Amino acid sequence: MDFKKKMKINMIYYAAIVALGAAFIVLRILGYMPDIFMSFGCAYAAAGLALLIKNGIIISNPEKLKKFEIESKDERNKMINGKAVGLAFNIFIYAAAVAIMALELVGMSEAGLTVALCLCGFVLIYVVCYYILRARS
Amino acid sequence: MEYRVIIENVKHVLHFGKEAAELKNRIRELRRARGLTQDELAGALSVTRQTVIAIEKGTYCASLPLAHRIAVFFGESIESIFIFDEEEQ
Repeated sequence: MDFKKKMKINMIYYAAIVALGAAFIVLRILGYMPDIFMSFGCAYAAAGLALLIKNGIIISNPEKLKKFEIESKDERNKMINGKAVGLAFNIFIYAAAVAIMALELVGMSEAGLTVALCLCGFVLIYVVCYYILRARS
Repeated sequence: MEYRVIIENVKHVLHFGKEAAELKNRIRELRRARGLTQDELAGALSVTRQTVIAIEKGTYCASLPLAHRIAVFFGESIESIFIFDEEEQ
């Protein structure tokens, strides 16, 4: 697919995120949603708007679009991103394991159990993703 | 012992030390012979300038499709551009 077209499609998703954020804010103001949705709404609206503006600027300038396309498709950038994700995953696993032990030691068993379940879920997702990617490669 | 496992994992992910494959190549020589800048070569290969720098330095091994693009660009074979030293590996 043409990169410009792909970016335009992404802009539709970003606009949807802005709309979702705005909807959360409005529903919170009207009292239909709990307080937390105000934070979610602001975060969604701000992030969506920032991405929308960024993509708009890039699409309007052919030189910037070409540079952005090269940076997005660059194999070394992709490799670095993959390694960063892998490293973050490793660090997260060890940090979560330490957190579970620390929470158990301070007597916060329920919190420890929650973190442990999240960790199990995370590892399960990793295993599923690994086998899907292995089957496709 | 646990911290050693963590360090080994970090090293593995980052490919630090002797595990990092450094492949010698003639890209810098060929580029200079044609009077090209790293930026111009990067533009021709549709990669970033940083990638060209990393390949020239041998800190990053180009993928086979990129190696093929490089070979086609310079009009030479892949094995004449990338020098694979089995002893070093």
